[in-house]
Amino acid sequence: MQSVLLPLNTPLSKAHPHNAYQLSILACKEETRTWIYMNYIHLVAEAKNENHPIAFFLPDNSGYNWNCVTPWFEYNVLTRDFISECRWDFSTIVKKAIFNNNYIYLYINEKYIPGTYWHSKGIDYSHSLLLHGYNELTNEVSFLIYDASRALSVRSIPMNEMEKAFYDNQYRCERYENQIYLLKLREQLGYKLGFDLKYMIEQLVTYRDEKPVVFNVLDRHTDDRYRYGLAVYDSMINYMDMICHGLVTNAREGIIIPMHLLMEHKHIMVERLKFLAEHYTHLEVSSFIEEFEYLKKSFESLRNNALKFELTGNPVIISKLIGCMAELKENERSSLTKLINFLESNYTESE
Amino acid sequence: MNVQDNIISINHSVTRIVNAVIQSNREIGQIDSLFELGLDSIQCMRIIIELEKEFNIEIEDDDLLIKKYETISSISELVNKLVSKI
Repeated sequence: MQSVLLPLNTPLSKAHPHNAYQLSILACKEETRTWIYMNYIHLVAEAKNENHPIAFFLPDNSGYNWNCVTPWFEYNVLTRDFISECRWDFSTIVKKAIFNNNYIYLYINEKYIPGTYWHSKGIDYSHSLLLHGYNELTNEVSFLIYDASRALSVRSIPMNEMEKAFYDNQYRCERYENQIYLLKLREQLGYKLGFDLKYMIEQLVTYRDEKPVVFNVLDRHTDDRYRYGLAVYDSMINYMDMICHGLVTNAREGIIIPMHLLMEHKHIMVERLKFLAEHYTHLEVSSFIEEFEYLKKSFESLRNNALKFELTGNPVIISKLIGCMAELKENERSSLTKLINFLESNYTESE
Repeated sequence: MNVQDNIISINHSVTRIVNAVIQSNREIGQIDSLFELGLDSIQCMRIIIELEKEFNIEIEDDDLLIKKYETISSISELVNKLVSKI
């Protein structure tokens, strides 16, 4: 009887599932750090999106920003419709995938997953999770998911329950949520990827100057409803203003999660600078690490204030958060400008 | 009440609040790591809200960092510092 549990490690970001699952896998391989730190710079906000005001901007080649693929994954994609049409057995797909070192990213109905908020309410809710293990003896599948208090945790349920969760699910966005990704972490990237300091500087300038980010031709034709870089702070401020005026009430998705993401964004910046210091030993970046540590702690405080607002409903907290966000935006702009100037003046063409 | 009695009284209240929020299946010791017992940010904020009500204090942003709430002992020390300022 076989039992496989593919490794997972602490992700650099947990705010959104697709990033958390991807980074949980990548955290198992040190060589992935180059790709991670060259990415996870850009932020995007869809101005009228009440549910997800801020996200990391890492679209795939179709422009979809909620994917989990990276050059570090070999991947295969199936859809639930295709599996049904071919009359393939879900449990056989899962077993074969996991026994061949594939993680599985898919959307299921959380009503069937014990320990989740929606299971406790008995309410249908389509959400993603990451399968990473299977035990033939117990016929249980192991997975990574957010529990009822939104903590990432690993647990197991019988395969037939997972199958029910998979099939008895109404997607909110059929085109993307219908897909199952079989993800295998590559041994090697397959091409040389050195840390490109010049590229990093350019991305930081784009981020600081709130410019649209163009990764492919589809990004050139988005309408004005997107904000990029530091401008995402304005989306958060607008949203909090709407809360003050009673126009929206969703503090969890509208403030707490985005605030948490901003905290993680600064944490990744700190780690990026430490990575830079390892590889460019002539660059003295310790003062910049301190500045971004300060920003990270500031966002942690803001996030905790947002949690306090959710628990108490005290509107004074929101007014305070609006003021703090505006101030932090300018603090970050100032820190980035100093960092960019420093890197540009110390960058040599040979690097 | 003298200073020592105050410290003991604060500690008792903090212990009671932490136990009520975390709901561990055993009594939590003074230096037990609350993170290892599963303390998350939501529970931490619940503790903070209860502390503010209990002691009529306001916990400022610098003290809203989760790492300051690792043990009952560290929380009692924080509360003692804030109460002393009143």
